[in-house]
Amino acid sequence: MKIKVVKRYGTAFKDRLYIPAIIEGLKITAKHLFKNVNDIKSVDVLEYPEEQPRDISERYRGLHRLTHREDGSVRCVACFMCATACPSSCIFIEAVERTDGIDEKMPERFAIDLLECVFCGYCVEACPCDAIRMDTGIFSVIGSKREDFVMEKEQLLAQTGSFGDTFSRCHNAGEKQDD
Amino acid sequence: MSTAALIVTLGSIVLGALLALMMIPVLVWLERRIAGLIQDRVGPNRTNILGFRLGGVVQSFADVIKLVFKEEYYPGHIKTGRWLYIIAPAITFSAALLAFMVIPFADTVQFGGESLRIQPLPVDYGVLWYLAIGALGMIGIFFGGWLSHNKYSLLGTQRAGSMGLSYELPLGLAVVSMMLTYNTIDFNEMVRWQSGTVLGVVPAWGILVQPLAFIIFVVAIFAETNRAPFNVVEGESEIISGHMTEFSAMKFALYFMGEYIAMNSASAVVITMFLGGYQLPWLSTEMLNIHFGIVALALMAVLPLFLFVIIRWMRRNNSVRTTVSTDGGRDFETKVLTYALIGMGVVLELILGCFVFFGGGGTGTAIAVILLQIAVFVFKLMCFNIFFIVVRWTLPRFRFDQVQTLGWHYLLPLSLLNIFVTAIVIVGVGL
Amino acid sequence: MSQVTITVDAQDYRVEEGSLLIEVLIQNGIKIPYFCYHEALGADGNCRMCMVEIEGQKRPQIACDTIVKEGMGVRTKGENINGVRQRILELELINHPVDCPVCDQAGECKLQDFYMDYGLYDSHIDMRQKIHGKKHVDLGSNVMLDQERCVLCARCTRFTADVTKTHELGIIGRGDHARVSTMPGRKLENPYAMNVVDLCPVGALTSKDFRFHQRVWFLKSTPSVCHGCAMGCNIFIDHNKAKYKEDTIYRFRPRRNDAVNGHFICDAGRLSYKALQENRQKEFELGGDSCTEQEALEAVKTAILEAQNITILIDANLYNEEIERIIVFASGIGATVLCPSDCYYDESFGDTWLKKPWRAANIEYINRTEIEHRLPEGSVDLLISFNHPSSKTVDSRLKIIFATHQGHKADILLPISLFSESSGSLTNIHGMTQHCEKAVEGEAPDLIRLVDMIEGEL
Repeated sequence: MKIKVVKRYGTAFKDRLYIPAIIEGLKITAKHLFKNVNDIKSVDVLEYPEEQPRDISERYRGLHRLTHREDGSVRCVACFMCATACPSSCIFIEAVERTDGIDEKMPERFAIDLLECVFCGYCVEACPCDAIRMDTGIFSVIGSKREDFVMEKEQLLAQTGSFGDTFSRCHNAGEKQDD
Repeated sequence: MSTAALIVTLGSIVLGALLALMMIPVLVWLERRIAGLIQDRVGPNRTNILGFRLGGVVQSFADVIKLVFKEEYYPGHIKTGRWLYIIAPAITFSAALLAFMVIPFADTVQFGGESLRIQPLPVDYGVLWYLAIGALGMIGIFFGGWLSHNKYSLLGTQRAGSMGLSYELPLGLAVVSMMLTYNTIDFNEMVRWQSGTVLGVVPAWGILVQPLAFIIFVVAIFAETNRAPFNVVEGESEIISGHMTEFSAMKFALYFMGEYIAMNSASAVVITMFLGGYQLPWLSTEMLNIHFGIVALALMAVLPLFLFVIIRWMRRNNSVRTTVSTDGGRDFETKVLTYALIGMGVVLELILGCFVFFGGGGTGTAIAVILLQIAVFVFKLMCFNIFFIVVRWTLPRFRFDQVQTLGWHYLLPLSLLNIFVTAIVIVGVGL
Repeated sequence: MSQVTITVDAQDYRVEEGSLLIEVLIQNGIKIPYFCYHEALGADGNCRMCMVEIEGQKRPQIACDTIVKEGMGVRTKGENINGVRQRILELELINHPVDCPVCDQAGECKLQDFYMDYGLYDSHIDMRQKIHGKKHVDLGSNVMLDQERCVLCARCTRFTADVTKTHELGIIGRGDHARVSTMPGRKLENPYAMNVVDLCPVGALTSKDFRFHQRVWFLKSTPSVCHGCAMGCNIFIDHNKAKYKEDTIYRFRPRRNDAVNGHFICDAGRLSYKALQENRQKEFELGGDSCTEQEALEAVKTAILEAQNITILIDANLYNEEIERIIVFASGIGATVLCPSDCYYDESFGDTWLKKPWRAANIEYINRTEIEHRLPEGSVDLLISFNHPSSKTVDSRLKIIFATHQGHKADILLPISLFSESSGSLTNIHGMTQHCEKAVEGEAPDLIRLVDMIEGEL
């Protein structure tokens, strides 16, 4: 067997003395300190909330939304894939038979408890119908009590995507396709 | 006791209490601000009263108000000894506060044949007092940690105990070598010893006379005050918060503030023993008394320059980028503070001018020298406190066994060696 | 019967001569995909999914139409046979709508399982070319039909033809247009109709009762015994405790037991889970007002100590262990134990197969004890009823009722757990004692625990 001998650092007298290394470290922090004290505006931070983040991209996982079909109705078919994939079990779905002839099944209730959600995006990955997305770009939700953070179906449907694509590109099975 | 003695003693006590207690919010703010700036962040800067934010120091007062009004919570499992659990933080807090009280803020003055110490506790065994009372703070940690009935608290307490054992020794031995050098246990005498020069040019500060003792003392004092890189007692990544885990609201705040007072006291002791205390380099109290006119002239020359730099810095930095819609009253604050600073400068210039052109007379000069020395002391104190803070945000925390190894295997033998060498030199030179 | 030796995947098995190869494979736990074969319905040979390679034969053969022979060599694995299965599966899925998200069978669907095992191909079929059939057709008897999802295995038609002999279902049309249907104007109508839902290997037949209520992968199955009648059919209780909700039963499924019910249960038993969970008695009551457990037990103690004579009525649905415990308790306090059984008998419910006229699960165990099947005679001072349905017809000075459901009027009312909330054994009408496991975590206390506590107070 081939053995690779890794050189161990920190055994020299200078290293074991610690003080040169500490001085080196202090030099670095002091440099940052003096630079920033001298010109606070060179610190690249946002003056939130007067300044809002500018770097929210299409891949940013913000607040969830439920997408619509072309006729404006809910796309979700309550297949429970998102609730199954959810690691924090924060999606509460009650399914019901859909009677308008568009599909067979739809959610009666579709709620996400944002206080339990970890914003991992597994629900979006799991959805076979492109019915749930996290592309609203909303990163801050405010409420005064716990119930305010439980997003119900109507609230989720009312959100719009921040990056175009109002309607879902996916076609559910059995649905008519134009292209 | 004469009136002058009463005034001086009361004045010293008030000054000591102010320096210790008012330093807490300033230090907490400095800690957070410097941490932010070192890490290329801004730190607390938005809390304000009528637009006055004073660089964010107002945040500390908001924090205190919050801690005072927080719910008083007692863990249900603490049954016997709850009163001890409640007073434990106060023990730590008062020990740290009392330890600060033997620091001289200025040289002893002579009034009407009386020699008056500018020292809240006018005692001549200051070193012993500091070592004894400073170590009492550990008792509060023991009570609090033990009575919490929490494994993390207990671990923190156990660590505090072993830290106390392993670092009191090098600390005390470093002090012993300084006592040998200065031939006294009176802080004021120590400072006066340092007002001389070595080889004619170098100020005889402890740090230059006894560099090894300085290093040992500073390292040990970092460990004693539980500051990074030796804050294993809290060790928040390992044992949550050590002895403070079960404490909340004002009880927690007392521990927290006690730590900052202890740090402040430690800085005061370090500058008193090693950095010349209230002394300006090369200028002993006698020289200041005799040549105060020249000193005042120099101050008159420096003051406008200093104010100009401060005001320019404030105007540049107390504002927001042009992209931000509102500056939250920063412009107004800058204006008011500029006028206030200029006004203060003018008053100071006038007072100094009186000294230059008319002379202050014996009492006037003495008071002016005391004030100057207090200012020097506060300046040095702030500098060393900032050094404490910068070190915390530079170095990562040592592992507990590494801390112990450092204490027993390196610092203890080194401090013993230092004592021997010092003793031999003193005997040899025949001081 | 004599035994023969066959070799399956290079391993020898001693099997009965003349048995079907697929039976042998299933009994020995060898993985073999199939749709149309069913142990209760026999082989049909139409799905072609159970292809195996047999040494000496040129082409793969279906295992459900092969009789085992001495020295037969069979291969169920390998690239070749997996390729064959993949292509057969693709054929089965040609007109399948792939609407798994809305399909209730998802999670227990053979098409999904076999696709993951053998399929994993890219479809050659465009969604637009698929032949569409009728979706969600209500066949009657709580059965919904989706013709698009059907793989035409004919299990359902064979069930109505061979098992119930009611012949409601048939396959009409040919080729792509073949589909399962009833006669025009006729409905699926027999007391065992919902078994076709279990039989259907895909999502073509689903239960209207269970439809869309819960995805099957959330359900936990606990083996138990049906309490609908004295037959004691074996069932699985499928239940789930959703977050922030109570542990709920969503369906009963038949559990195979050849000695009792085979593969099937009746619809009445299957749907009995609903009445079980409704109108539960959850609180202790004293004179109509709710009280704590301690107060109720105290009142029971005083009532027993002050009573002149005590009569105990015992429900014939209780577990053997509970009945035994109550008999011991009764002898301790000098009470007469009775089980008026007229209310359990329903002649119209019975038939010649699984349904028995005695609608009490443990009537046979009552028969074996010395408990008399009569109402109490003379004046009753204190009546203690353990969930007996006719307790209200008995007049007494004081009444104590242990009840699972609401609707009882008593001086002292104590809630007790359901059979699904505790474990015990039942003796069915043929004398077979079977064990039921505890499925659901309930709020109401266990009957035996309550009786223990009452006895401890005395």
